Amino acid sequence: MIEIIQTPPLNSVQDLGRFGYRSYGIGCAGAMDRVALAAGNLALGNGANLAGIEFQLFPVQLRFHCDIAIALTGADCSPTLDVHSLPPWWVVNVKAGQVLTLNSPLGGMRSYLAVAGGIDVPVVLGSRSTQSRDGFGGFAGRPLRAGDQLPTAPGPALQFRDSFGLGIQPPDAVLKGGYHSWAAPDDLILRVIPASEYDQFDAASLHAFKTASWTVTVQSNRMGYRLAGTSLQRMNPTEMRSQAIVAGVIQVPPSGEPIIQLSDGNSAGGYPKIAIVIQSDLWRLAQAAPGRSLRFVEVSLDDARAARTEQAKYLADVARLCSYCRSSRAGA
Amino acid sequence: MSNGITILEQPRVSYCGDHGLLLEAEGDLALPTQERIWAVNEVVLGWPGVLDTQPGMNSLLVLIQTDQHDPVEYHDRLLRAWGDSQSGRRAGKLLEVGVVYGGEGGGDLPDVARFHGVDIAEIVQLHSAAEYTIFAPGTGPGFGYLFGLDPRLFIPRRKVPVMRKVGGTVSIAGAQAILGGPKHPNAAATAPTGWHVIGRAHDVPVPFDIARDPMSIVSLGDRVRFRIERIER
Amino acid sequence: MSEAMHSMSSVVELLRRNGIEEFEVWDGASHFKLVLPPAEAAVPVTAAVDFKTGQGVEVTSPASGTFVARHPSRSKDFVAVGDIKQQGECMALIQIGPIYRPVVAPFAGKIVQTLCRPGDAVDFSLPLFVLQRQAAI
Repeated sequence: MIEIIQTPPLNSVQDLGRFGYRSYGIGCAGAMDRVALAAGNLALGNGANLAGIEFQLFPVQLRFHCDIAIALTGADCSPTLDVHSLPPWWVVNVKAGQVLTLNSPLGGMRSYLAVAGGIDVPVVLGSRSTQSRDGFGGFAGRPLRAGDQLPTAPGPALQFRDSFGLGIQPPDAVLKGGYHSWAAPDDLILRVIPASEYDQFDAASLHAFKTASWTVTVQSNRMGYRLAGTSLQRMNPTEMRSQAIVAGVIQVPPSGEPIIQLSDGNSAGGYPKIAIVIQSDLWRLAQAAPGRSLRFVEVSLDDARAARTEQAKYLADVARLCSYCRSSRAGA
Repeated sequence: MSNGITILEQPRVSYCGDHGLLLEAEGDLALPTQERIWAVNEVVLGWPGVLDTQPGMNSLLVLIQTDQHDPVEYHDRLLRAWGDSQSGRRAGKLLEVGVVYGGEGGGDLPDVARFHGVDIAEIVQLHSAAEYTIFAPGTGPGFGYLFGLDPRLFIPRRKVPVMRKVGGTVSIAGAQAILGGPKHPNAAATAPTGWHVIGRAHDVPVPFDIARDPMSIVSLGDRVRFRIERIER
Repeated sequence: MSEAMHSMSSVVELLRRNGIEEFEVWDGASHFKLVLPPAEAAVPVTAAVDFKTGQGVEVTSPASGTFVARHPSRSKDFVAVGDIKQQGECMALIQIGPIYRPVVAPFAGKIVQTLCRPGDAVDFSLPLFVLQRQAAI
């Protein structure tokens, strides 16, 4: 069992999302940085989709009430286990009674805790993700609060080659990402596929879309990211019919400044869509903090497929190499 | 600048990022067209590799399991399925709700009346006379997007969203109408909206309850009527 | 690395530390001989373990891989010469594909020498640091 000693709002139990219920208006929820959660799970020998905890606000303190193996991935939150500092992207055994403290990340936005066997909350509509707006899933259908006790699944105790644990190479060191000829060194580059209303935008707007940079505003959260920058306009702003919205959709409201819909976004809407961020780059956006500059680069479906393949290979390599450094303790 | 609605002459299938496809029907919103959308939806749900689908107003989103399949495999097949589809009446149920039009709960009613240059009674009459059909799921679990708004009531979405009290909202925008469910206990009292709230259905039933079987009290093709409780000026 | 290789590596390390260059075993029908090439002169090999006078002890690599002095997400190396590390603290990482194995201080001590450069390919049991035992803090 994991006890939440202290937590700010907006931290919740998530897995890789809830799919199959769009007909009810239920969106996918799930970890904003799926790569981080999947990597942590796989390093522990879990299925990639077991539930972990997503942390968006800090500091957080947890107490473990059982011996269990954990993985901490995503943004480097300078974790300490009792008094011992842990490197980021680290996998280690914790002992009952130990306290884990997570601090505000200096870079990145969201950190993930995976545990061997997963957070054992009930599966609701096929997933353990928290659907905060609709009040179900995850832990009691809501973000975590001090005093919450999260059940962990019983399972074989794991042993690592080194008692200090082992590390996972963070994905930004491995996954190549997009290239944008106008990008400054710190710009986030998001690879996109043009969407159904792309051709409705005027030439100046399409040029700006391909070249300009936007800033992530503070009105950016699990529902979506609001960007500040060049205003995009359609040639003939007709009324839109309402359509399905998925994570990654870049909507352009009348103000002209884009909104990127994300995990907890509305599942339908009526703003025109100029493009959609490829699945493989959503984790990068999840780690972009307000103030970050970003640019869009249009890619092909083949490019997007190559990105998915690259990501799948990274996760498979993590799973395989970690399995060599990990064993189940007999009799535990 | 036109505030009309784009009407396609031909159906088209475009890609929704790298994990989905969007089918858009030709022609204007119409019940027979949407019946075909529902029919294609049923067909597509039976295809291997489909993760989820979602009808929209004259559209259908198809999401693919991209660890095993690629959206390109479905492009032509989806267009063909549309070509093969036929309309057909669904025997849906009828939901009737009483509405207090205008007043504090329907604060945008006077503006809608002004936009059309008529008295609010005229707006209320046109809105409540129609029978609406649930065409597509909405922005969350609820009563979905309603078709059937009298063309004389068409009014563009707001350019700048405004904050409006939630709970039983009766709203219109573009050519569409919506009915809001009761306020969720955890929800904020107000929410931003680009729609025009013209009334309030104080006794609207809870549309979706995860503990209930069936979870949703309405389905695509069901109909909604609004009954005038009173008009507040 | 498989369990068998891991055991072999431990045996090799033990032989090296004790200055044994050849090892031979007969067991009835079986005959096993292990010959170790002499340690490279370029890498300083400090005589082990005079704890009282605080001479340095090598901290060796737990695996074959690439020596990583600084975590890619951090802006500072794990350690610098002159640092005092507690027993169990992480001093560096050995990268093997997309994972890292930690190099951990075997006892509380002061880092007297770093024997490797970031990015060096290192073998199992290659000396990486010289650590001078300090009184427990």
